[in-house]
Amino acid sequence: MAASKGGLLQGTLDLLILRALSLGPNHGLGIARRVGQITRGTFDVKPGSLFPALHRLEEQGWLDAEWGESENRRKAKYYRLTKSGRKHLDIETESWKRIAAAIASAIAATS
Amino acid sequence: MSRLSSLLRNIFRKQRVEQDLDDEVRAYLDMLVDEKRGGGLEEREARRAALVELQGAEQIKESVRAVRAGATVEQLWRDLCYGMRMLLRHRGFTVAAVLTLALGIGANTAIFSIVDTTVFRPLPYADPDRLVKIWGTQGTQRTDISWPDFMDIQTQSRAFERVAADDGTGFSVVYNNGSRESVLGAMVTTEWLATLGVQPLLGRTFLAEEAQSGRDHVVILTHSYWRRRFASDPNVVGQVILVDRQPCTIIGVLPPNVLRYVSDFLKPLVPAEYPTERGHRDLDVFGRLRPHVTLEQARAEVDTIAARLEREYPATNEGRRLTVVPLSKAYALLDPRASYGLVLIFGAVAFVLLIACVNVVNLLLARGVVRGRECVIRTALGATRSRLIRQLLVENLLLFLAGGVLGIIVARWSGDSLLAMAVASGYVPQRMVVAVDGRVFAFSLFVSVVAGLLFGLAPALQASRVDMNQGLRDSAPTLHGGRRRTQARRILIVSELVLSLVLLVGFGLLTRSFLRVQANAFSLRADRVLETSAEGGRSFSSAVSFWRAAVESASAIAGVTSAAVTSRPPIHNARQRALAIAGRPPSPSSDEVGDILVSADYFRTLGIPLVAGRVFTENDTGASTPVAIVSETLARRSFPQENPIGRRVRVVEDDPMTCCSAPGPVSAVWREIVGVVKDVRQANLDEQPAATLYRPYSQIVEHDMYLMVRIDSAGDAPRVGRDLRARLALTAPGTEWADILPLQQIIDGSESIRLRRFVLILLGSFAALALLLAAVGLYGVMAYIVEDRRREIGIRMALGATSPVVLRQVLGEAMRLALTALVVGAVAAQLVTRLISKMLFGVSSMDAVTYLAVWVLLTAVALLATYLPARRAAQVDPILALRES
Repeated sequence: MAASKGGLLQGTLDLLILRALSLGPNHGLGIARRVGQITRGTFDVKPGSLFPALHRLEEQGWLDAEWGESENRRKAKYYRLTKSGRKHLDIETESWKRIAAAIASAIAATS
Repeated sequence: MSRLSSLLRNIFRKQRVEQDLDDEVRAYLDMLVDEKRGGGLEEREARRAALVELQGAEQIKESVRAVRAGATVEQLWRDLCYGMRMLLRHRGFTVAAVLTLALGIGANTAIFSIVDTTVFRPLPYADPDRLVKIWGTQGTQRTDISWPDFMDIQTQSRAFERVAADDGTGFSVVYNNGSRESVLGAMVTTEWLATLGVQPLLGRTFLAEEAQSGRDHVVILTHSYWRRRFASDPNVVGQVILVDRQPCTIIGVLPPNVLRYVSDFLKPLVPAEYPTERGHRDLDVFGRLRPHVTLEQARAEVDTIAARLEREYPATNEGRRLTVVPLSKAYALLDPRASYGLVLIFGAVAFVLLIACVNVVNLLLARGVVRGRECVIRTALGATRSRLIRQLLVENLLLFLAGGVLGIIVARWSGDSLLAMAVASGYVPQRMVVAVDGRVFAFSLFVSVVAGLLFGLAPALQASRVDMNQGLRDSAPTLHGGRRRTQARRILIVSELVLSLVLLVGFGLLTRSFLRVQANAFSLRADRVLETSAEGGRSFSSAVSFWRAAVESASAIAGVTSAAVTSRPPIHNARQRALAIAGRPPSPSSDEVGDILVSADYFRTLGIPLVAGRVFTENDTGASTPVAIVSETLARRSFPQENPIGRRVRVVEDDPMTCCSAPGPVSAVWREIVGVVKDVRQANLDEQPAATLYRPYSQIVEHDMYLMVRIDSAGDAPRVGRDLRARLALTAPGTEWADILPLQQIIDGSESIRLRRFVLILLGSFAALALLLAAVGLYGVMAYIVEDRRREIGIRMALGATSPVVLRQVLGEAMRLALTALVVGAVAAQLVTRLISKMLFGVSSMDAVTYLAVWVLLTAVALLATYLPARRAAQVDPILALRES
């Protein structure tokens, strides 16, 4: 499933980004690729939705950003999970799990 | 980073933030390229693939900007700046649109300021619901109140906590620096301010003993006078000015805007020095009701008092009553017909605004063609449609607001003359303060914003509708959406023409009504009749000889055709009496007749033709048979299919006729009808002819009467007036005669005429304005259509169409629009004019003459407005037109 800008729920994308960053700081492209990995290729995050999401999360104080150098010795902006970001990830994970379980049981019941 | 610090950073370090974003997107792209090359692609191929995946760097940046803290405010600010720049760049367009709107909004604001003052504005007093105005009434007329009557109200009423009275007059004031000025002042009873519940801003209010002669040398300044003449001096209290050569101490200053009438200062009214005749009615009286006293209770109480006064003082108070109205309504329209007229004017002026707005929408649509291309480019760079709509809407709102601000200036500028006219026509009480202040300002801005949102949205939607493929490919963006846009503009121009047609028809119908009303001013030339009045004498013989002498001396003046005496000339309400007819049971009181006493030459002097029988002569005296003359309406009503001549009638007077004297008994006299005369519209020219009974003054005379003089030529009026005044002074020395005025002037000042004239003048100017705007709009649309079709016209001319053919075609197109408007407009006018049927007089709302005239006028204006564009089309050079494209 190619996740287009409209097809991906905003909360889902936020959760995926936070989750990807919980493994360690990364730059934009790295985050996109890591989301691809951890969802086993289900979500392909396009820059058109990635960038606004990153900036929004940063303004909400869940991410920190600083310039660093990439593995290919290129200047890149690195994003890092903040303390409140980690807390938010926990809360979101919990609620997502509940929703997922609920949806799953709902689908099982009707089919 | 907190939201607030992000906001601050986004605002104050904008450049840095933007640079950062740019770097970040670039780095992303570079890494993407690296990744593709790692996958085995060539540098060029890798970059291409990366760019495709990125889907546009500018769009990404735009979407990041949209989520930033403060993005909405920032965008709004940017839209404002951008809108301002666009308006300044397209100056011709801006000036045309803003001027159009300023006229529309200005006219509305000016009318609003008048309606607001008289109808809506709340009273600036404490607990205003308990304040009431006490009017004297005489029939349907409202009058002021005399000092003794006021004292009686004060002592006999229980409904009021307080009552107060004032009388405004002019004073001559000399200031400390010796300069002299005529100002308006009001003499007020000492409880005046307490009744209103107003505390002075500076100093104190009047003390009770300051109503005594000699202790009254104190004044309280109004705020505006204090500011104008005393430069808002905080130490003004205690200063002394000369008022009518009498040194007066300033004891206080009023807060701003507490008086509804223009006045410069208040002075105590001294009863000992004030006229105390019961007939001298000059006081404005108002009161504050006790808590829990209703208006009806107060009204009943003053009515009882008035009835008592009428019994005790019949000489001065007969037929006079008192009534109570809420003070908030007291200064409102004195006449229901006036309020009807104001509503009409408000409706008409709203039409003008509507036309102005439609015109501006038309301009905006025309400009949408230019803006369309700009929108295409901005969409390509990542702007969303809602973003574009918002920006265009902000720009349009700016335009309307500019129109509103200029409109306030227009309103202020036209306000004074409009107010003067409204006062002269009886729509606004004399000396009323009409403030162009915050409320009026707010109204104007409100109208601008609402109109801006309503009429700015459609063009914004239109211009922002972008087809990327078409838009970028077209070298001539006019082709895109041109057809639909032109269609929209055609519809708009037809609706403009329809609106102006409705206004014109309304104006036409009212003009014809007005002319009919004026034509009712008798068969006589009222500019050839002079009128004056006096108190003749208290006894029958003295009054009759007084008036006989007056008529004789007037008749002797060169240039005078005839002179006569009457108790009630036209435009005065005749006293209504019941009429008894000999040989019939007493008729119900609904059969009242107007009762007028006249001399022999009255009918000749006023040009009222005799229909049957004879007029009065000097031989109809106290010694001869009592006689009477009836009007045609009375004859028809009381003697259907009978000859009234020779029948006997009697005026039924319930109360003693103290106003009249006769040689024998004053009342219960049977009279023989000797003649029938044509009808006169006695009280108002647009009323149904009244049933009138005339009696000869030589058999029963009224003490106060009018002298009517017919002259040979209207130009002679001033000279005859002077001669008459001199003669009368000789004939009856010591008698005070009223001003000698042409009857025409009195008719012109009468209610039916002046109320109508005000509506006509305003409606006429609004209709003219509407027509002008519609003509400009039509011109604009036709010019646009011709420009749009240059190429087509060029081809047709190349194929052999001649100039006249093209000219005819363009004119034909405009005429099709005009014709549609004529038909639709006629239907609309039918519906709308039904609302003004009350104001129509002697004309049907389907009056063919009016409709024809308006149609011809509108067609002519449409032809005129189309002629220039049509000529330009006919002059298209096919070679040039084809080469251009």
